[in-house]
Amino acid sequence: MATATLGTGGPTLQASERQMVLPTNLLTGIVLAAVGYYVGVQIGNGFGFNDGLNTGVLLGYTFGSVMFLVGVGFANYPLARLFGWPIAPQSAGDEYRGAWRFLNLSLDHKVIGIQYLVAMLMAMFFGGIGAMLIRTNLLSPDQLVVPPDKYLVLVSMHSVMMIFVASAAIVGPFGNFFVPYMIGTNRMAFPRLEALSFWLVPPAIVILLAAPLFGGFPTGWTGYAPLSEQAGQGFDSYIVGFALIGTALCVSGVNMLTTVISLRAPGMTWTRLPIFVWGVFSASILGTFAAPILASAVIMQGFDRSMNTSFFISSNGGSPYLWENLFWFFGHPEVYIFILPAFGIVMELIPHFARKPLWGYRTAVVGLLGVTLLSWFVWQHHLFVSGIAPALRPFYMFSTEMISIPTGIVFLVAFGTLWRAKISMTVPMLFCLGFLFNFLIGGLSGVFLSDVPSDVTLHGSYFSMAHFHFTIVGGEIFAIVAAIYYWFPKMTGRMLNMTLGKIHFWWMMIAFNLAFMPLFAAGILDMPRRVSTYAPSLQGLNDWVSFWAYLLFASMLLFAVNVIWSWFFNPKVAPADPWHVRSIEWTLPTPLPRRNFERIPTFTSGPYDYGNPSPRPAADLGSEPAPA
Amino acid sequence: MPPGLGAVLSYWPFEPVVLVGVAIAAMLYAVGGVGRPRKHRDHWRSAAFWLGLLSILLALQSPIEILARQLFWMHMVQHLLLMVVAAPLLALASPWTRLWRALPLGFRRSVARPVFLHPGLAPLRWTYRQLAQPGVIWVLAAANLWLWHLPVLYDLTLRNHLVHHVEHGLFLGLGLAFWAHVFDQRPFRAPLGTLARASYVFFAMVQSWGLAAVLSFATGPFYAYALLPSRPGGISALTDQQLGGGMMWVPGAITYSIVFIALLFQWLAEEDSRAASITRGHAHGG
Amino acid sequence: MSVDEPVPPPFAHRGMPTLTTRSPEWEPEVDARLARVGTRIWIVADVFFFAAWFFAFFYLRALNNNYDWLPAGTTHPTRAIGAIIVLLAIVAAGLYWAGARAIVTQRATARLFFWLALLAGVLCFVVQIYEFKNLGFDPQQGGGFPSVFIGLKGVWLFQLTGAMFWLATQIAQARPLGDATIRPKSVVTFGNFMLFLAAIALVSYVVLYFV
Repeated sequence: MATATLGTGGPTLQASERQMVLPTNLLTGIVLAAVGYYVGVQIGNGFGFNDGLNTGVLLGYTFGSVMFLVGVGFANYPLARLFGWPIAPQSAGDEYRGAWRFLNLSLDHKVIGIQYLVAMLMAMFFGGIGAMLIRTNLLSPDQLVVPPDKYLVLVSMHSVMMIFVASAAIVGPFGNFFVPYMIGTNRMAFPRLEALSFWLVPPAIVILLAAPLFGGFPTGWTGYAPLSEQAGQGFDSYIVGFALIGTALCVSGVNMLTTVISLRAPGMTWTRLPIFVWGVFSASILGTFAAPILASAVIMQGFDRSMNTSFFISSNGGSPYLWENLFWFFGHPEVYIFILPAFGIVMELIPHFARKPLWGYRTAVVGLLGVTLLSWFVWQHHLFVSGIAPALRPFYMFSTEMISIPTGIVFLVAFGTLWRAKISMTVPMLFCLGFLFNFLIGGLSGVFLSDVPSDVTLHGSYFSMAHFHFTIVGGEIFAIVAAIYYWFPKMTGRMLNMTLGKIHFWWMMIAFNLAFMPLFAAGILDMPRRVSTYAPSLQGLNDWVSFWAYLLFASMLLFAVNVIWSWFFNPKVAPADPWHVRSIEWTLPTPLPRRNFERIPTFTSGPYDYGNPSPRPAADLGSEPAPA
Repeated sequence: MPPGLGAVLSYWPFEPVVLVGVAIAAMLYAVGGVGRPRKHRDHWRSAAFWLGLLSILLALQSPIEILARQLFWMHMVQHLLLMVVAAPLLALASPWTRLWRALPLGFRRSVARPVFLHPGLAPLRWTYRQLAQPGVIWVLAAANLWLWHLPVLYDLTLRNHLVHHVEHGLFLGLGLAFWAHVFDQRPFRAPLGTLARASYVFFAMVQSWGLAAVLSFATGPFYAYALLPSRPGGISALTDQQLGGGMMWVPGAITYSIVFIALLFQWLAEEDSRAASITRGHAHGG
Repeated sequence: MSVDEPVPPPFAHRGMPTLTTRSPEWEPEVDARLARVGTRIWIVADVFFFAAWFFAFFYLRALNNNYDWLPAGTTHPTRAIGAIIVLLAIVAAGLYWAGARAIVTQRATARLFFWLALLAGVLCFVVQIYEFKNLGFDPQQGGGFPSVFIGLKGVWLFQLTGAMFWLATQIAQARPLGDATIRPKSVVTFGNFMLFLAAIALVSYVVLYFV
């Protein structure tokens, strides 16, 4: 079994200090979570609000999550500051050895990155199971897996789980792990906030997985009122799950923004930042400022369901449009939170594997920031058919079409870099090229949906389903897989098997396209989404889609086998710089030492300075230590 | 009068104040440019100036003015032409030195010397310095925008032509002052750095969205347009108002967005030179 | 300096980030500077949070669905109590700022101001709970205004509670060799957040009681 590759660990806590700090670990977290859940349910049931409104589960989830965090150790620092106890040093978590280090609170951004990676992959697996159940159910217009009133439970589970994954799958593992390296610092601005953003994810996943125990919820990931208020106890999972994930997004964003703004090493000016950091930065802007709106909206839902207020009930002075506006004001930036880091990855990897500087770096940066800006005022295109004043629709059509310009800039930059380059077709590069193909289709289909006349017919059909699966799966998931193949040697000290990788790429690419491309046709043929039955004439199409979807899932299982075998069963250590690229993390040894840089480097050139006959090193690692 | 001409003329207003103002500005500019060697840059500045004057005429001395009396959203187009087309173009042109130069030297000296040097006018200079600060101008321009959309004031401009001219003058004047902090007005330099200018423009855009949201989401018409028996196109007063809100929201943001993006590019270019100088300093053992 | 060599922490006071290693990036000055930047970003995020509630207010009021924005029999909450809550919030923020100015030269006075600020904050909490118990309406009967009133004030109160905990920590750290005493800039950070909460309280007061 591969040993932990993140160095030998830091200095251990002194014995006297250990006594003063509350003894907390994952097990105490789980125990306290159960206690918190029980207490919450008791309090909620005792409230005695209107009959039929069970506040118990809602409070149970909330208390359970909070007590989980307390049990894992997040209360130690605030209480220590308050009562004057010694505080665990920044190397907290290092005293654990081996796998145990990854199961406990650690303030090392590298450990948090790996924790995130595993959590995201596991959540993606659960979401994928949901997808398989959905596609099995759709093998026939009759119900095969679940009765029709339970189909939406499946859809909701799959979609919400995948939304959780997509929100953090790049910034969480790779942003947290590599941004400090790329900007030349030994620390994140707020390691405890960073750890908090991770530890909010397991409770969210568990709470979501618990929803079927209470009957699930039928609203899909959009949670529209009044269905959400009529839904059973399962919808409480939605409320608390999104509240936790929203908090994680906001907190992670505050940490990431402060880090990139304040902790860049000398010479790391904004124009020398690797474009991956820009992708993470712009997504963090959206995450920090959009997530609080989601939090407000789900709190309003919570009040409506437990205290009989009426934010979203029109017979009582509320309005479902309030939910729609609030949700989509968050929801549209949310999808750009998905894709901006993916753009960052693709634009980062292409220059390295094309051995050419990134073409149009400043244009790419302005493109990312342009998407960030524009994503705030397009949200009404999600409401074209549900009650927006008709006079306003042309304006949002215009602004939505405008957002394809900065998105197109990303393609321009990618192709400009690939033009006349010596491309090395490594597995990460293959996935980047796959991204470009898939996202082109996904993005273009979005232009159709942005047009009011066509959206009126296509809204709520499989066309929009195909659009967002091409952009999120064909786009973001492909980018995540590329990032895993690329950075796996540095994160874990092992190379993934590249032969399996190439098989994985072609298998996944073909299966994905053959599975999702026909869904555009299904949409045009009026197959509505979120409905468990369909016209019998569409059976052949659906069977074709389901078949290829199973194969897509199988390709991800192959990937999982590759990951697990390479990580835990392959004894061969990866070289420090297997890709021979200029990015700074590859100049450091594998396994990475606990402390990123012995001396803070001075950056003397950009990371894409290929083709230069006498290049400067990207950074001078021998400079005097400067205060971060 | 030939037949048809009367009909055509009925679509064109006659605004002597506007015509005289534009004519004076044009004459001064033309005269001020006589006899000076032209550098390359002056060509696009002159182009901006003439386009700016043209957009003022388009806003106030064209069929838009007639339609603005019948349609709220047309009136919005008129105001947008003044605030986000004419004002930034004129600020970009930075015509002040040329306009000033057109006046006789004796007159210029007799005005400029006391304004800049006379101790009795020191309070005036102090007031100007306070008012010309970017934060103050930002707040004044934003407040001006919101105030004129209060129904009581807006309806007053519809009834009273003089007040209407004052309104347009304030939009243009405060607009010029606003954009003067984004585009350097030669020979002065605006005090803000590039990133600060980008934020300045960004937040001005965002606050206008607030007003646009109020107009777009309102459930009933606010202004006297509702009293008109009918509107061109047969639209309701509420639809008219929503269209106006949408105009302010999206087309009204175009200029701000373009300038914001240009400022981002400029800031990145400045960061590039800063990076290069750090590299040079480091190579020399700094 | 080797990473592994333990160095006695430079500060004798407990509750300070003790370092068993000495490394420049973990100097508490760096933490204080980062906290200032981070708190400003957090405050802007909080603006968005409260903006959603204010949007709910104006939107539901404009729609007045089923004429139920103010259900029949709803009496408006008394402005006097609302004013007391706002004033206490402002007083707490003001006292804190007075303490922040005094922290460098007169530490004991600063601590006194902090304690008074905490007292004002706790009183504010108590009065708000009193108001919740003595509303002129029952939020469980629905209605747009009652819902937004409870929701907006409820989430504000939750943030106030968190702020009071933070304030108590500032008091604890205002001892000799405590974080607040050694690094006055870290005191200002929290003051910004108190001001923000007071400002939100004021805006909420105007919107909820007068509009």
